[in-house]
Amino acid sequence: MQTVKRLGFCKCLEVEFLKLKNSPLWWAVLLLPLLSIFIGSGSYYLNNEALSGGAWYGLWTQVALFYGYFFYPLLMGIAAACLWRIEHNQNNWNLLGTLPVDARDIWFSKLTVLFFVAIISQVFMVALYVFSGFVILRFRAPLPATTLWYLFAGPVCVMAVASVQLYLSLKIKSFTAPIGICFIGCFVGLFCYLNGFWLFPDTLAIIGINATHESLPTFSEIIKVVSGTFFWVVLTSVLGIRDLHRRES
Amino acid sequence: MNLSKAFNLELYKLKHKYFFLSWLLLTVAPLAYLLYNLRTFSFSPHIHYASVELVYFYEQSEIVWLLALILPVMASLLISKLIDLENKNENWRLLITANEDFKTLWSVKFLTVFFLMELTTLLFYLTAVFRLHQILGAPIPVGKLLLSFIGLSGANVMTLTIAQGLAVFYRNQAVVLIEGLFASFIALISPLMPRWFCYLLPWGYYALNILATNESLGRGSDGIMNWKIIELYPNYVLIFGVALLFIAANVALMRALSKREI
Amino acid sequence: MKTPVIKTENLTKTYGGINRVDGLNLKIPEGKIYGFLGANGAGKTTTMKMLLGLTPPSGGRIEIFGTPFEENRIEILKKTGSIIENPSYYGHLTGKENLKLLEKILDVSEEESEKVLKLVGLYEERDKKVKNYSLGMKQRLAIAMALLRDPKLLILDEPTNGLDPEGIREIRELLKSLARKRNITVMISSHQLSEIEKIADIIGILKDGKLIFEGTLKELERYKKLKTTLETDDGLLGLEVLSDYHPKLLDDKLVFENLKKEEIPPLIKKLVNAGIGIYELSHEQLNLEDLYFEIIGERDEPK
Repeated sequence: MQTVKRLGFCKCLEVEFLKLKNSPLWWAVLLLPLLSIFIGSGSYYLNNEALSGGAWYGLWTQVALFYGYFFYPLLMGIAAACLWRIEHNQNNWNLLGTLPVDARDIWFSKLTVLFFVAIISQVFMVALYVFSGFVILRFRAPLPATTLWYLFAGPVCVMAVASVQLYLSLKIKSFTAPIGICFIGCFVGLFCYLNGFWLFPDTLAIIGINATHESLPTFSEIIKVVSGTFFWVVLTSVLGIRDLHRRES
Repeated sequence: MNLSKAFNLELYKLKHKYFFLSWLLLTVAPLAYLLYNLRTFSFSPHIHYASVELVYFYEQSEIVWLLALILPVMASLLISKLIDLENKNENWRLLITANEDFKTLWSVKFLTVFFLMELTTLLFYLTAVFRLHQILGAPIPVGKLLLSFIGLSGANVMTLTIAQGLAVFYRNQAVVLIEGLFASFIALISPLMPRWFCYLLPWGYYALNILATNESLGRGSDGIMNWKIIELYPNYVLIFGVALLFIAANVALMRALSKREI
Repeated sequence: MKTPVIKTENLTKTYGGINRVDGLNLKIPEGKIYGFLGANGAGKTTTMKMLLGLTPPSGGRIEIFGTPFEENRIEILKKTGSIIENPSYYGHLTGKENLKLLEKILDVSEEESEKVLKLVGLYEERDKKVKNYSLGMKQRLAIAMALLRDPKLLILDEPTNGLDPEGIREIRELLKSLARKRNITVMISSHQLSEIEKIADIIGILKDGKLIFEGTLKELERYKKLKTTLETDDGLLGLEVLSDYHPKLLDDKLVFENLKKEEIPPLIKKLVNAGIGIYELSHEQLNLEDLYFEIIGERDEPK
């Protein structure tokens, strides 16, 4: 029997990006960081005597707090829901099953798109943060090293939430339900954060955004957080791919 | 079709849908967080209250933060569910050709979600106020709290009107959910913004109902910041005025959307 | 003359400067089955949507049950059942629950629901969620929902879409009996010419938004042409010799329209006398499909 040549990961990736082409999601990716920085900078300017710590840290607390606690994870939740929307809506499952695509490629291409959204959002956020600090607020102090941590840890750690949301949106046909769960997850994450339970996905995202510590996290903390994220991504990927296989057959 | 019959119908449509469970979870999670925060209360030496009333008011300001976060997202999530029921499979056609009035449908869906939002607001208020009363034993300043509650209801009207308009106008429910995200963000950061900002955007009206804020007294000898709690006096005339305008806008929006092609 | 159940005067719908429905003058009499024929995009669905008030017309008038539509919408819709494009339903509810919903809106008893479910053959599956129905079952449910209010008029956009031949026959018989026994007027649109042929009393053909034919099947048959094809060894000479009969030359074959049978022997004699050899003669009557394409002015390409 002739084996069908599989479409491959890159093709899947192309398709996934096409799906999001005219989505209102990109408005959120663009405007949410912009708003955060704009308002956070304003808030810093008005309240800076009340803030403790260095100028850059102070600005980041104003800019990233709400963003990191709620809106960044929620953004990922909405993005994940958008990615499965077409399959659920048009009853595309039959179509998907007959195309020569591997379940693995489907899952990882979607996950990659989510990572892309996370990175773009965060890069934009950090860029505006730096711009705001140097140009608008005219900070004299040099940019602290923690900025690099924000740039890398933010998107990586939020993938814990993103991958869980991707799995939830796969299993749940409703568009809004996983987003509701994400929202509740934000609160649970915050609660866990305050009580030292760091493994919950939203908690990892909060740690990644690092809006409450001025210093860089220690090496052990970094290992903890990265492995935690890795755990969620692997777990959901295994479950997700298995689910897709079952749908295919 | 009269309203009570229409409500009955709407409830029937929600069979097997866990709609109210969603509302419950969206309310209980943050409420649990609130209760957890209130499990102990002690007077900090760094925070100065001029009167015991201000303790209630300051707590009210804390719950407004929480409500500002939740309510716009809740509005978008719940109204999206209700409207999407009809957007799917062109069910609007089914209903309109059966002589169900679009205006009745709109009103019923609006009132259902509005009621749930009000219930959430009420639960937050009652939880905070009674917990504090339990701890402090002081009399509850009902009048001012009630007024602020009505003010928040006005903000709820505004938020829900916009969300419902978007949910009906745009088939893609991602639009209303992203709007909810933004609305929540703006509502959340409004207390930090100058007054004119809050008046400008409808979601800023949550912040306008805050009854107390803190003012820094400078750092004490131990290096820790000291705060004084001062009372705020919301401009209820303006708030109610704008809320009434939004009710009119809601009716106008309903009329305009009822004419669209299905 | 009895008032037609549906009467439109110059009904027009414009989208982006183009008249999708152009000056339609429909006349649909009571108790008859009206077959609305037309290609995709001809304007059938748009017309039906206007008749139900789902889309406002850009121009013209609509009269249903003898009264202007705009003013008597509610009364008219009470007596009208419809399906437009795809069936509408609440997927998370069962078939029975979907009907129960309509019961509540239309103020109709539960017995009516049961009657109508049995009529369309869905009684056994009434407790299954509609999202799990097959396409054919969803279509039947839509028909059941249209019938629930005991209508005097049915406007059905491709009601047999997705049904198997058995199902199509059942629905056809059902609609016929409703029209005959209960004097219900049925307007159905279709692509299936064979279906329309079997069911419609009156046919309306829509092309590019214009009604280019409206009449009974018999009247349509007047357009039916006889086609005689003659294959000879010298087509051009044959064209000259037989010019009195106005033939056309297609693919080297002589094609005659509406040649009577009696005219054929003398025609053959003429050819023989001119020394033209005859390979083949065929004499056929266009079926409705060919007729349809003739009417809308397109030639059907041989497959």
